[in-house]
Amino acid sequence: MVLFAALALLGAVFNSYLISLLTIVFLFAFIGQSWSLMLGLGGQLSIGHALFVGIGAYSVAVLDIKYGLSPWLGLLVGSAIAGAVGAALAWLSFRFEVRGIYFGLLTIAAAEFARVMFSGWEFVGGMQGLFFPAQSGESSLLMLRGGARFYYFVALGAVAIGVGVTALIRKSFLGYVWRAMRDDEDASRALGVRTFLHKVLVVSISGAWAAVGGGLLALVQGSIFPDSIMGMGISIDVLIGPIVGGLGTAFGPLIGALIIIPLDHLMSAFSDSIGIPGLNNVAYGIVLIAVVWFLPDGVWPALIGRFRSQKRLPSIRSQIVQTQEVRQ
Amino acid sequence: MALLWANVVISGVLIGLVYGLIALGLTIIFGVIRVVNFAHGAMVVFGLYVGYCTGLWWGMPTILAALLAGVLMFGVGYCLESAVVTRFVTRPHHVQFILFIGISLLFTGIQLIWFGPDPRPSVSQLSFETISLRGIRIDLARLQAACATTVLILALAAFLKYSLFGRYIRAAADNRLGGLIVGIPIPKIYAITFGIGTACAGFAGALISPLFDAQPYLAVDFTLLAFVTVIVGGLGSFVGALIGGLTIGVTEAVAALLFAPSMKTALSYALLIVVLILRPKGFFGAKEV
Amino acid sequence: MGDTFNKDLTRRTVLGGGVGLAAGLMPWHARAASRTVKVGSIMPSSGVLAFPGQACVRGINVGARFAKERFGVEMEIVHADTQSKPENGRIAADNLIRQGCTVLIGAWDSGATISALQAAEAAKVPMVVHIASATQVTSQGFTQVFRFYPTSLTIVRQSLLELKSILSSVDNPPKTAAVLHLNNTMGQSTAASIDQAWKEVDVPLKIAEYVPYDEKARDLSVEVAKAKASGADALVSVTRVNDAIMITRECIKQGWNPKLIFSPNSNGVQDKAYYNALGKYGDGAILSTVWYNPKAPDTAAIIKSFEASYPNEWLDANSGCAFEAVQIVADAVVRANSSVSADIHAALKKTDMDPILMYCGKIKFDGSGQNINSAVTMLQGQGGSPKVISPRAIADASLQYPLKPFEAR
Repeated sequence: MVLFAALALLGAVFNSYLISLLTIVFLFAFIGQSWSLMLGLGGQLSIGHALFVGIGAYSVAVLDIKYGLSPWLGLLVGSAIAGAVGAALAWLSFRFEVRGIYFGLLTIAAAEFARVMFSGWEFVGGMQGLFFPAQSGESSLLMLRGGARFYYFVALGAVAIGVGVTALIRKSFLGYVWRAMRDDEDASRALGVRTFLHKVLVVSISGAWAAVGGGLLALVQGSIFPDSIMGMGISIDVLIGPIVGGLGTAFGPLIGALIIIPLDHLMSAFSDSIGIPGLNNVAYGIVLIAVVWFLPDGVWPALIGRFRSQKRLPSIRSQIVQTQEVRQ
Repeated sequence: MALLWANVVISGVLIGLVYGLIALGLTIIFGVIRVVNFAHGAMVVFGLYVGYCTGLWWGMPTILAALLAGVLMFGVGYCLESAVVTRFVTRPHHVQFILFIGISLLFTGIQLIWFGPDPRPSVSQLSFETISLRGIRIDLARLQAACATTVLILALAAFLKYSLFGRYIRAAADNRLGGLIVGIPIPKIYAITFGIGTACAGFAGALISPLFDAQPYLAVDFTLLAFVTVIVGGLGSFVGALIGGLTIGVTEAVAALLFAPSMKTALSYALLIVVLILRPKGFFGAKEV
Repeated sequence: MGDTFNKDLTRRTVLGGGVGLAAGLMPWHARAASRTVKVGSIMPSSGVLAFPGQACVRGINVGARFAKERFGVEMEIVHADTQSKPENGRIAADNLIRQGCTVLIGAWDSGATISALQAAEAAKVPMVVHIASATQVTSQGFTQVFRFYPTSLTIVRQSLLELKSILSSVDNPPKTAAVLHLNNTMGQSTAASIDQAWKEVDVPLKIAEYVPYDEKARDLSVEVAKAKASGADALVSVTRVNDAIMITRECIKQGWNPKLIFSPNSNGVQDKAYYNALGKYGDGAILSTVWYNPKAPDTAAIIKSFEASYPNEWLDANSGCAFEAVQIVADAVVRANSSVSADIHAALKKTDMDPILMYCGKIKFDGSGQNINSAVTMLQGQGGSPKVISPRAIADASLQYPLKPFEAR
């Protein structure tokens, strides 16, 4: 609460660089929350979240640019489509017992398949992409158009809602069921949990959520192309934040994105300044390795753990490892 | 027309075997250690650069360059496993994923700094040569890669089956805990297996350097390609990699001939989705995961 | 405005802008600069677009040195990398504006350009787009954009006119062509433009087939076999450098010797890597692009300066356009006699300058910010390097036709 109030206040005074940087941070945090929900609570690994992001982005862009409809409608339609696609994908996979890493690989295949299809689909511009008109300068909440600061608050609002929803789900019946299912699917099924239904549900919700983020990202970028909005790059960028921050926690994805994206930009600026492009990739790679090495559960649980060491629950990592050991 | 079809199918078979070669390293590592090496593509690209450099500096034939790259990458893989990857063997897949993304970025960044972003083409004359049999043209570089794939697979299979080390590796793949109990040096076996996997990636990379120009950011493409191949064939199986490669190669070639070639990549992903759903472990998937 | 920077930035700029200066033999005697301006350069210098992105950075650095001599404008170039991600365009632009840049140059790909333009629009900082060919860059109502580079349709139309005149000047011209094109942003829009302009221009060549291929295609043997099987005796290909090499290799392997290989709006013949890969087989193919004028008075000196800084690279279309963009900015700064954004913007609007390096008409921007006098150049690979064969006025070689069969080389 305090954090968001502070961020909102600071939004009024930050310079435009921080504003646009943090807007992207919030959007990736928001999409990261959806990814984190799916793996951290539902136990389903997705490495193709770009599929949902892309669907959301294209829904907003097509409805806005081609038909002049409000992006709100685009967000709604996009998340409905992405939710349905997610449900269909999950239904198919889980119906045929595609599990674990294989499900992750299936999501990559689905995302790449969609990317190639979109790049040949003339109606949505193919590889030539879709472009929003330039901002007129006045903000309109109805049409979701406005300057950088406007999008900052939109993205901040989204991420705040995301934190709230994640916290609610964690404490709700659904949250307990999902975590039980994540930790031991067979046992929870034996206890009467309809795991199939719940797995489809969590993928579908996560997909719909990610699509909203995708739609906002499209508005902020001003143009979309299949290879950038639906490419492997987005899928990877999306999941780094939550893993660094703390998987399945309410604040993890936000904290992770707040750390990793500005760090990436700083390193990039540094390698520009000394004229060695590529150094940023090296540094980023080392940071990623270091984070999973030293902070296996992410930054947020480590911070919390420092304050509340007694009350600390067994970490997700150890739970999953235990499950795996049992299976083996 | 028949000639065109024959040419296309043969070219599909050959490129399919090349795909199999690229994918081989990935499947070995998964089959034994059960980690999914997302840095595989970066290692293939490393092999490409070895092929490029040795050709440029010493005029080394591709096949020798491939052996050299294999030896080099064995070292890299061995060290990488025993220093880093070993700590992550029992960790969840998403953590391993981030680890390998990190390693991949590290490799790519180093390649970008060292060689720059320009495509580095092989100087080998092999990239232009073909043999012609009654109107059917066979690409020599691909033929060489295809033969090497077959030999390599046979050699690896024999190694696994008949050598002591091979038996250790199979034991480790079957049952890690059991292997530990009967005194098999599992950590060492893992490091060697990982080394063999990366060596295959490097070997493949150098061998295909007459076909693909080395560029740092090809890594992701090669990783995805290797994935599609091994999943269609079955993650963790040698024969699977071969069959997967052949399936993808021929399907893509025929699809490119019949439909718009720009859609052929989509077709291989569609194939992958179908295979995953109907036979989640692929045609020749490892028995348990 | 121009001198509001802190210590950290000076160090950064000096280091960033002065890459290779140590090795550089300065061919121009530096005059005392009369005007200082801070210029932000947004390029994809890492990520998948690093190849063209780094070429642009080289053009900017050499351009800044030249501008100091020619216009007496002291440019402080601050580089920002988009990592080839569109969303970073805006962040990079805002970062540069924050650091006091009063004019921007960038961003090579249309996605990052649009994203950066939004920041430029909000801050009212003019942005000179050296390359980005999507029509929408100048048609979406941005007021701060000034694009040097022509749209795909313009390039293709001019290229086809040139092609037509080539075809009418040779004996035994080809009859049909197969169009083999990359299906990325550039390739698809170029192919669409070819489709549109081919009839308009009335090229005396029948298109037998369009063969599009995916950017991530690992193998083009079937594509080339398909083109060959269409019975075409000319190949029109839209390529980047990697696939230009792959296509030529496949032509050699499959024994296909079209009479003419022509690549509108492409890479390949203009790149060093192409000749490194293909050697003697690289000769003969024709390519149209926005290229430098080999006969312009300063070209020789500029190339010399470029080679002194970057001995392993060529001055290509990417670095050339970036170079020219710097000169456009310098010219505007001199006429504005100010380094304030609004003044530079006003001056840019009135730009009417002879290009320094690139071949085109007088650089002038229309109401939407598009350079109206752009021109294309036809290059042919001859003796292991690209030679200008058309337009006549600037040609440094004459057309070789037909393509010498590959096996006879």
